[in-house]
Order: sequence, then structure tokens, then C-alpha cells
Amino acid sequence: MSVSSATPLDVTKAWVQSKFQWKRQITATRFSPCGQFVFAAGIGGAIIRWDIESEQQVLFESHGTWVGDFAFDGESKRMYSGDYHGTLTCWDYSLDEPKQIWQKAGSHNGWIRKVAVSPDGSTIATGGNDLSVRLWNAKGRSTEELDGHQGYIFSLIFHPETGDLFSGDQLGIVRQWNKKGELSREIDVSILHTRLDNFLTHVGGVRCMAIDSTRNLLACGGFTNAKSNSFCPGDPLISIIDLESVTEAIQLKPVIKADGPINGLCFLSDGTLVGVGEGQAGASLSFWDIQKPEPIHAIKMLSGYEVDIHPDGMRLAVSRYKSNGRTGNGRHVLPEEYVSNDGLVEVLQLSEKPMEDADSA
Amino acid sequence: MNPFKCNQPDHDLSRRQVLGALTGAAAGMGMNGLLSPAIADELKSKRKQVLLIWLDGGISQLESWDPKPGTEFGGPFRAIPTSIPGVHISELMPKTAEQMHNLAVVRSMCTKDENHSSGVPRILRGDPKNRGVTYPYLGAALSYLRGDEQVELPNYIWVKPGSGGFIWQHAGFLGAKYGALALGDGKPPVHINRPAEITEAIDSTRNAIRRQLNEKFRLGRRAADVDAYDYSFEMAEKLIKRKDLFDDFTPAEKDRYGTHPLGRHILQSKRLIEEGVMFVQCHSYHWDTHGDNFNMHLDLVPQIDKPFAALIEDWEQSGMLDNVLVLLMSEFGRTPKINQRLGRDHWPEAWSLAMAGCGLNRGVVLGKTTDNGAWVDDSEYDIGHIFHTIFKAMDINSLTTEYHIDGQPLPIAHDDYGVIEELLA
Repeated sequence: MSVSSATPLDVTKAWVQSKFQWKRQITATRFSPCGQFVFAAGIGGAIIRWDIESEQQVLFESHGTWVGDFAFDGESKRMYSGDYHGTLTCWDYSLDEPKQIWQKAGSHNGWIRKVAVSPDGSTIATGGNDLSVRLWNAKGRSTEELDGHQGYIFSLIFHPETGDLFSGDQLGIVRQWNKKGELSREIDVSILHTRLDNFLTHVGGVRCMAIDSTRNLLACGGFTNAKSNSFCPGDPLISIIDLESVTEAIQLKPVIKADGPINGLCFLSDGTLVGVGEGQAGASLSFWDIQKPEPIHAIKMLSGYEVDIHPDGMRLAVSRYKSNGRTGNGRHVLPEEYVSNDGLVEVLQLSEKPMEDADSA
Repeated sequence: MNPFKCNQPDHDLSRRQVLGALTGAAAGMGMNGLLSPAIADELKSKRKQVLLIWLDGGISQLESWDPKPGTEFGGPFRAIPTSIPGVHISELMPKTAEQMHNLAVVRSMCTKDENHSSGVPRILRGDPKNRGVTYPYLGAALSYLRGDEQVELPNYIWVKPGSGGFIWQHAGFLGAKYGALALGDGKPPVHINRPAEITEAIDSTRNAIRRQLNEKFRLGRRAADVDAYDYSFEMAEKLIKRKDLFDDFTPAEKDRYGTHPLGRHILQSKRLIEEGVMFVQCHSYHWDTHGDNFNMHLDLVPQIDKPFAALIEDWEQSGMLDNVLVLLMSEFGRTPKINQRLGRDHWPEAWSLAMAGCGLNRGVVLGKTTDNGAWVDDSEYDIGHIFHTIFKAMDINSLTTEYHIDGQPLPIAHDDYGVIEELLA
């Protein structure tokens, strides 16, 4: 169902237009640049494509393990996906049947966590557990290896105007690289990292980023003040960095209580920042006017992992957890009831619901 | 006088032999000097020890001993081949994979308790039937059943992060004497050095006064409290004489075992065993990965892989593994099902542990789980089976040996279970 483009953007009236469910948990989700499809991937090796209107489902299968991330180039209709075995795959995403263009095993030593495509579509950036950011051309040839991170690469984003690449790591450091692959600067967002004396591991990191090119702001999501490296409870937090002065402009926090990181961020056309997070008892999809620390609107939900804005600027895709019965923690479960949790992609319309739908809801 | 009697025949024999050898020997000499070479050799050969490495909170079996890549709950990690053809473990344990021919892994543990607070003591006590008494932890039990009061070191030492102290509660009904001396961060008790201004003679006099006062204080009070204090002092005294146990390790040793806490603590535990401590429990916290399980295991498992593999390899080469039983375990495993914080919760239904040494078969994998890793599919084992097997490896007949408390005979291991014969050579 489509909504008139004349309908004004109003996040406080956001409503779920459609839901797409998958038999495994989903982490990453994105709209295709053409706006016809929403894609998702995560636990398991499949990338799932749904036609938003017809809800037809198509599977892109060739990854042998979890898919960390994927990204698109609209011009060439390419999708680039990276998995936890370090394999990078290029697909034509637009055809009725999935078509793999090329695949490169060993693109990274270990997990590929993030994939980003430059604004002009010429460069694909990947990052993961081997601490390196790697650049590839559209044919899958390695063009650059950007070293220097001391922690796993959790997030990557290209600046839509300048083409600079930002890479965020586990230790709360963002490195900004220019188009020549040179390090421009390092941005300290270590508030998103915790390592107490009794921790055995690092906790936190820059889990996600978004850029507002109009105001030249970088939003970094994650969590702070982690209490342990086992439950990993902490306080979800977004640090907004002014890229002119490289100072923190403001910190944003959800009002709906949660103990996990902010996993997904995006800016809307009116400058509203959208963030989705996770928590042991659920979390929220929140909307901020970034002049104010508290959200202007929030929707309570089970854990969310990614959020993306549709090319029409009026719809959001949110990947989230869908429980499928008990995990078995503390309560006995029967084998026949013990099945994987599901993944869900919700497409939300960011405007008032039309009357006929409101009536039928 | 200890109210309990150990009926284990081998143990009695050994004691008689030792006592016989001691008769007529000059007082004040070390034990080795008192024994005939034959008996000393026999004693040495029968001196069995245990190193229990405890990953508190629960290591995920799917990210360690029982990987199920590509399945519903399998997680993102690969399974890699080991030194035993056909046996695979998680790619997070590449060094341990090379030592698989020295290990015995049980993949079909099924226990009852999914809570830490009750699960840890239950597992460490072997989950005996509830008879209204508090059973000792494994270290205390073996300290009683197999410990030697003549040795110059405590029988039961607990190397742990955080603070140390004398943990008499581990002894249960055996009494404080069999409690654990906990070394916080693997370091010696504070004030281990006698101040320079206190001479040995003064120190000796002070201790005599202390003992007298303790005896007086004991009258009309709960003996357990005074005993705990007494024994902790005795243990500290023993350690004071062995400050060399805490000498720094060489850079090569540190590098081999790792500089993280678990690596350091396993290295310290290794030294304590090699110097004669009968039972060492080496503890690591923070394995309770309800949140971010895969990122955490990515960083946690290598911290056990490196020192554990080094330990097994070193002791195999030195021959120590013939007489030292190494256990690597937690109170349970982790849920196959992944929760909304991408964590795994508590799962006693099907989990794994590893053992090595002390006559156990090597290169053995016992039991199996269902294809999705959630349930035991073959050869289900309880912690009671493991306790019987440990006791047998330690030359204790767990079917005939009993504790006696207030005239009540009590089995030393759960009487519904028995030894896992497939694990014993």
C-alpha cells in the first residue's frame, strides 16, 4: 500500500505499514536504491529480498555463514555482501532470480562486519575483525588497505558529499580517510567503549554511524558504562560529533529503558535522527531532534539491530528480534517447542495513517 | 580428632606403608629422607593431583567443544579438525585442537540446575542426593580423601581473580581443615613476609601464645570458626616458607601461557601442582555471556585456548600428565537458542567438558548431541558420573568409600551413578 507523497513527514505518527518475517534472526536491513525492495540478512547465510508491494520473497544464497552486512550501488544495480568467513560477494540485486557477479573468499581474515559503497559507486569498503579497512573496485579488485585500527571494525560510512570514509571500531575510535585512502584524522568516541579492570574483553564500540551532510554532523551509536563483559549491560548512547570542530556536540539517550547498544542510526530529510537499540528486556526505536538530548518520539519494541530510510524519505525499515518461545534459560523447554527465534523487518510509514487504514486497523 | 573415616583400601595401604617407613626414622628430616627408595618411588608414582580449571558462568559448548556450524543454532564460527581424525572443535580453539590426542571430551553432559547460585555448588559438590548435609567441594573432598598432611604445602589451593582468603565453606561437613586457601589474583597472601624486626625466635613465641589463646577461645564456642582461623594460619605459615612459589615467571613462560589473567593464573596453578599441591582450582569469571555472546566468545575463548593447550603439551612432554588430572569445565553450557541481545543463556541440558591425564584415555570424545546441538542424543552423563570417574582416576573406589558423619555413612559420589568406564584406560 502506498501513501501519497504529499503527506507530511511526522515521526510521531509513524505506523507499521508492512512486516516481513524470516525464520532466523535478522540483523542487517536496507532498502534497495530503487525503493522496490527491502533486504535483510543476519544469522544464517541467506540474504532475503522482499518486494515491498507484492511481498514476494527471494533468497540470495551462497554465503556459508552469517552475513555481517551488505550495501548497494543503485547505478549498477549491484549489491555487495560480506560474511563472517571473510567472503565478499557481488550480486545483481534487481533481477527476478538472484545473480552472483563475483565472489572473493578471504577478502578479510575473519569476519566482515560492515560493507559500504562510495557515493559514486566506484569504491566498496569493507571492515571487520582483522582490524583493517579494505577498499575494492566494482570488479572485486583490492585497491587499498587502510590500517591503524586497534579494535575490530564495527561500522563504516561514506560521507555523501565529500566521499570521505569513516570507520568506527570496538575501542571507540573513528578514523576518517580521504578519497586517496589517507588518514585525515582520528575522532575519539571512546565514551562508547568500556574496559574495567576486571573485564576479560573490550565491551562496546562504535556500533553504527550516520552522517547529516547539511549540518556536517557524525552520529555514533553504541553504549557506555558497561558493567561486565558477560551480560554486557550498559547505557545506550549516541554521540553527535561536529565534523567542523571535531568536538562532541551533544549526547542523546533513549528514554525507554534498555541495557544494550544503539545498533542502527539514520538521518531523515528534516534532520531528525532515528536510532534503534537492543536490550535484554527490549528497547526502542527513537527519534531525536538533535538539539535536545531526549527523543521527540519513541516506540517500544523488542531488540532492534538496523534502521534504514527509504529513498522516498517517508519510510523506515527496522530489523528486529521476534521471539519464538523461551530460550530455555531457567525454565524447562520441550525439544519439539525449541526452535530458532525469528527475524522481522518492519516497514514504518513516517506520516499519519490514512483514514481507511486507520479504520481497518 | 577427625570424626570421619575413609574406607578406601588403597588409601589405607598407602598410609600404612608411609607410617611404617616413618617408624624409626629420625625426627625432623624431610619425608623423602625417611622413606626407603622403593616406597618413596611408589608414593611418588601414586601421588595423584588435580588441576580444575573453572570457567565461571558457562562457556558455550557451541563455541568450543561441540560446534554445529551451519545449523539452526550453530553460530558463526567454523569447526576445525583436530589431532584426532574426524573430531572437530571450534575454530576459536586452534591450539587445543592440536592437543586433542591428549584429551578426553564429554559432549553429553546433562545436569539439573540452570542457576549460578545453586548450580556452581551443586556441580562442584558432584550433586549428591540431598541428605540434609552440606557436601564438600571436589577440592575439599579430595583434600580429605587423598590429601597428605605431611606435605609442606596446603592440599587445596584456589587461584582466582579478585581477593583471596581461607574459604572454609568449601569443606562442607568435613570441617574447616579441608577448606580452600584462595590466592587472589594468584598472588601470595598479603603480609607473607615476616617483618625484619621480628626475629624467628620472637615469631615462634608469638605463635605459641596465639595457639594457647586459640585453645582458650575455642572453649564454649563453635569449633568450626576457630578451626577455620587456625587452619588458615597454618596454611599461610606453609606458604611463608615457600615464597619461591611466587617468583616471577620467565618472559618465555609468560608468552607461552598469555599475559591475561587466565593465562597467568593457569601458569601459577601449574607451578603449584608441580611443587606438590594436591588440588588446585583455577577460576576465571565473566563467561556468562547473556549479551553479545559471539563478540565475547571471540575474545574469551582464545584466553583459555592458549594456556590450556600449553599446559597439556608441557605436562604431556614432562610426564606430569600421567599423574595429574586436568579438568576444564563450567557449571553448565549455554542455550543453543540466541536471545535478543545476541547472547546465549544458561543451558544444563546438553553441554561439554574436557579432561586429561591421570590414566584417562586420550583422544576420546564421548557422547553426542542432536544435530542442532540442543539435546543429548547419546550417552547422557550427570556430574555424578564425572565425580565417580575422577575418584577412580585418583585411585579411590567411590562405590565402597564413604564419609561418616555423626555415625551416618554417606557416599562420596551420587549413588545413582557410576564410573564412566570408557574414559578410563
